[in-house]
Amino acid sequence: MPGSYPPAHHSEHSPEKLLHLIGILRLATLISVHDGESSVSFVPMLVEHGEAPVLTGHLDAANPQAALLDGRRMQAVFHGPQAYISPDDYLSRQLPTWNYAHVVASGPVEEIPGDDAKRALLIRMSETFGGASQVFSLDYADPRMAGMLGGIRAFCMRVDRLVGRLKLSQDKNRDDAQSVLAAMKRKSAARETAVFRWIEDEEMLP
Amino acid sequence: MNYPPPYHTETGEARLFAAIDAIRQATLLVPSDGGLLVAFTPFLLDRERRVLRGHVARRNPQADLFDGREVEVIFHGPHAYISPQLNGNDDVPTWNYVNVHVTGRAVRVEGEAKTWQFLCDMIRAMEKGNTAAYLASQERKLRKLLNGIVALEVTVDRLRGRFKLGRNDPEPLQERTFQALRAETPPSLRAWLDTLAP
Repeated sequence: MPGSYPPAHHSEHSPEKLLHLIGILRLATLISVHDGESSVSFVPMLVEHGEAPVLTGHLDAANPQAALLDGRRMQAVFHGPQAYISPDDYLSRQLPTWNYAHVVASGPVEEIPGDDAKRALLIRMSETFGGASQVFSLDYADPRMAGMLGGIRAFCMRVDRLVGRLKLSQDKNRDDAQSVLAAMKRKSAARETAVFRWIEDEEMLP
Repeated sequence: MNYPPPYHTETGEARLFAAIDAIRQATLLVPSDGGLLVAFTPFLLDRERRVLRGHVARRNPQADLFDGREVEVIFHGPHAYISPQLNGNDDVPTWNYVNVHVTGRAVRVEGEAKTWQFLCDMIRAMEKGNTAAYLASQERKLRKLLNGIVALEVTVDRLRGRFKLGRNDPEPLQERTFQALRAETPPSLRAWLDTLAP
């Protein structure tokens, strides 16, 4: 479709691919609207493996957004690497731009009630985010756990819209696109290595 | 209720403006009849006029909505998972991050001359060294870009910093978590991040 936005060559729609990318990015900007006012929080979210894509997370109970977990729609933006692309970063003569690899998920968000479910979520998150090298594990029996559970609200988003906003100079020729990707790698945090590997494995570039 | 807690909140304008200058790339949220529209675009801060100067693609549905309505501009700085291992495993995992959130009114910038000025200022801000020769040699090509973009300005009406840096932690731990964040910071942001060291 001419004139569509974002352009098709900058969009990815495969849930399978995008949920994998969310699993790498982890930290979401959770955005909601209430009475015309928007609320924004920064929270890690977990991809739950089931039939339909579901993301789970938790908010500080004192966060005003925690009062909005009532089935309303929210958006979760997962920010990947982003970098200014100088004309020097291309092999041919091109204009400067900004590139990025972000994912926007949206859907109705509901509270997950009950201490058992909250405790299980915290443990899943800790195990997932800590990685294989983590020796720490959350202890069900730790008396501090009870205090913590009271201080958070757990929630799940049933994702019904999922789009990858991948602006990676895919509209340029292969040599330029690869040269720009190399520049993005140089300009990005160490953590983003996994995102660049995903971009290469999924053959996102020409 | 007090959220976010004061030790996670930065209110010093000089520090918030410095963060905006360093990060530049932002998430722009514009309310529309169909809900909040999300775009990713860089902004330049004009301190004197207290406005953010930016642009979006003309075919971006946001482009028709810069009519003085209130929008949100979020500058995402570095973030890092903070493992309990940094504190002898006697803590819960958390995430640290530095973000700046601006709320203000978005107005479309009318006229090719002003949009051209914005584009040149953005290139000058991002390119180190002398850009005069580049701008002169590429002016024709760059001017063609003007057909594809809409420039906007956002007034800085509300300015909030979420600097979650473990400032409520004991000092040795603050230093360790700061280094964990620094290790996850893009090279171009490290000099600025160091101004926030404990």
